[in-house]
Amino acid sequence: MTNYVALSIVVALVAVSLIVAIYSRRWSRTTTEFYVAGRKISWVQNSLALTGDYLSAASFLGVAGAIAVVGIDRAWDGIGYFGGYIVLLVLLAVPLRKIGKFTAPEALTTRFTGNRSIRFSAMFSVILISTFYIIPQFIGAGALLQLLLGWDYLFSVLVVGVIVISYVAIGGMRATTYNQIIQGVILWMAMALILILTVTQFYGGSFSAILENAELAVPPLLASAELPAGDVLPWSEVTAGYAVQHVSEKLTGSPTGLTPGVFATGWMNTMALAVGLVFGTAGLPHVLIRYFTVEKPKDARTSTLGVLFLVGTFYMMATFVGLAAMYLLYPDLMGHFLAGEASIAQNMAVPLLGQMVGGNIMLGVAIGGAFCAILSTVAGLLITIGTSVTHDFYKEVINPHADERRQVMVAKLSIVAAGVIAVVFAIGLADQNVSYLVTLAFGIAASVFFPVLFLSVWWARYTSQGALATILTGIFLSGIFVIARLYGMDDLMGIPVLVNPALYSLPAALIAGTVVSLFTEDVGDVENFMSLAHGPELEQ
Amino acid sequence: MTNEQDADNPLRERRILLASDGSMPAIAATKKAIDLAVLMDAVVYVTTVPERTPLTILEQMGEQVEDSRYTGQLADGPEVAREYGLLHDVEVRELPMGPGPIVGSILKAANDIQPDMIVLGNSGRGGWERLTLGSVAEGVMRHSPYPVTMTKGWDKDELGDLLAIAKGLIKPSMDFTREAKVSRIPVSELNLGRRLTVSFLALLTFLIPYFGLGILNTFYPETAMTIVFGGFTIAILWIMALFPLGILTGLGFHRIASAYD
Repeated sequence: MTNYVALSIVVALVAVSLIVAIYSRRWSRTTTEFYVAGRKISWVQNSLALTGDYLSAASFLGVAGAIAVVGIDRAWDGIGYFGGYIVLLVLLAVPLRKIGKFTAPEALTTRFTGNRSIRFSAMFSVILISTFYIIPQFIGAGALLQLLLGWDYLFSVLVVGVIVISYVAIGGMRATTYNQIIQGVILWMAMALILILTVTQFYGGSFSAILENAELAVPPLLASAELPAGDVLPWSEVTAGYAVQHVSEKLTGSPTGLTPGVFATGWMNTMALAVGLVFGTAGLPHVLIRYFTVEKPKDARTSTLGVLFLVGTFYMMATFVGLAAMYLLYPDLMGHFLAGEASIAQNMAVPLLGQMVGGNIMLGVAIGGAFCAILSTVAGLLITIGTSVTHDFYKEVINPHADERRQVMVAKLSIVAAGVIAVVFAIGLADQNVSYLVTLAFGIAASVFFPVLFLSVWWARYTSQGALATILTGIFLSGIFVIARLYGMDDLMGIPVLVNPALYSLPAALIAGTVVSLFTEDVGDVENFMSLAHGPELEQ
Repeated sequence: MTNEQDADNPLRERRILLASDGSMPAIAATKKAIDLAVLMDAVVYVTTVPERTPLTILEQMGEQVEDSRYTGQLADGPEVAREYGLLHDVEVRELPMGPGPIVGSILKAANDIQPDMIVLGNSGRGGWERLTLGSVAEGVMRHSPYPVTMTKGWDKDELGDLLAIAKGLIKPSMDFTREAKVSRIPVSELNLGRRLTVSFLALLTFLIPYFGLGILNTFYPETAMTIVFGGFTIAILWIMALFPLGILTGLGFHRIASAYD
């Protein structure tokens, strides 16, 4: 049944974000506030744009949702996403901005001048990572519409796909960044509102109480698998406290919501997850591209500090929201799990908690927040694909003298093509666990862009052959280990298959690049490149 | 002498502030400014305000393609004014402004030089474009304490020789060579090793506790589950401490790097 109140809130939130975004350029052109608007706001805008760009449905619904069904172990996700910005801050942010190019592949060929193998393989990685990242966004959006409106999944995905692709491509790419800025604000505030309402209404303002409750609950993921067959409650009719107590008594000694090691079992899985998330974030093309837009090199650092604050506080809030959801929604989550709807349980924890603490209005805010996350992230990813296809391929190879009108046209075509491919995959992969696509995106990002940019920016002896070896090793190893995991293999030629491939593929890419460089000579235009990346800037 | 006193001085040079981004409406305003300068025996101060936007390159191109319907190809506004001023024996001085809000920056420039007149062009945007982008010319008119002359649209025949000058000074369609100008410094003098050490130390400040949490959870789960106060276990406190630690690490690194800059 269509929930009109919630639907109205969702439409209102998305509309407000679009309208404010569209008016933002007018404001930035016509405001008379010279000092406030003109001098200091650049890095604030970029911080918010990065936050809106980066916080996807996986962050808004996924982190808290995963904590709600698995427990505190999944707080790793949030810390990893957050930690990636520290890697960016200390190793890449300022050098990337100072190199003064517009895409990560172009930054590489600023050093390895004119090396098309590097540029194209890097461009291929950009498209691969970004497309894999879009698909789960569309799947999430389709599921949300299905839930909110009772629409058919196929129809829901098509509607969302058409809206987002049209917005980015036909809308002339206007205001995408401004939209991300506004949606960054909405996302953060929606999470804060849900947490405040939850902790005041159900926990008397005490965060300790959230933890004390979570410690009583066996994570629904485990409980649903371990409860003896037939021992089920009428989940929709019992209270949370009763359901939690019933399950705990049946499964005495089982891990609770605060027990570590439930998701990533063993140290290798834990480390693989940690490496993949931290270095993957630092290598995501749609994150990197924002570092090319800041005005001054110093803004690259201050922007990242802003993101650390926004993203850090966001995940702290998400952790408590997730733990509160585990207890308060226990009967709902168990009901979904036992009905074989694990992904619904995980994705709907935040919206359902919203509904519990603020009725249909907060359900709308939660789903609206998720929509904003999806719109801004997909827009950022599509812009990244369009930029790379146009700038790294079309203008580089096909038509070096293309004017802007033609470049924009090619970008729009590539955006439509990538969007349509993602929609087709999203339809084909309905109801399947697609987290491996995100893992693959992070795995490739951690194993390709982080190592190749890191070595290019910091090692003078790095060669073009070494860079190519890094890229190819990263893609190959992360690819085969993700496929092995997809097929449920425990090991690959005796090597354990882990939750994220980066524990193998990142060091392997670094080693391959280093060894090949030591045996080859072409260090590229290293003096100019290093002077750009690390030297004092004389004139802008 | 303050600016206000300066403005009241009858012997002070007469000044016209011309805002020109090199678009066709601005070229029309340039003609008006130079014509007025001849009549008023004034010096023309010309300023261009780059729009400050955090847009990606593709968005910028998309915007520029849309804008070009109203602005034509962009010329080098100050240079066009200078050359046209030379033809009419009018002194033209450039007033450089950094990127910023356009109306605010023009008003700031006006406040700096206290002009007798501000001249600028109206692009003639209508409908959706006007709604979403607003009018810089009207914004300046509304808020300026100085007289403002606004030209509307442009007439190619009237612009005549000025148009020829502008066409010779068309800017490259998009400035893709954003590379900062640097002097080539030998790699050995860049202190890469020292910088990388500082970066790694900052990174380890976060990564050691981060991976340490993994070790604690994996090898010492009972310690991790020890309750310190309330429901806060060691693991939860560790997780909650990692976020502020990361932010503090970032701030510390920023201070050191800023000092190095």
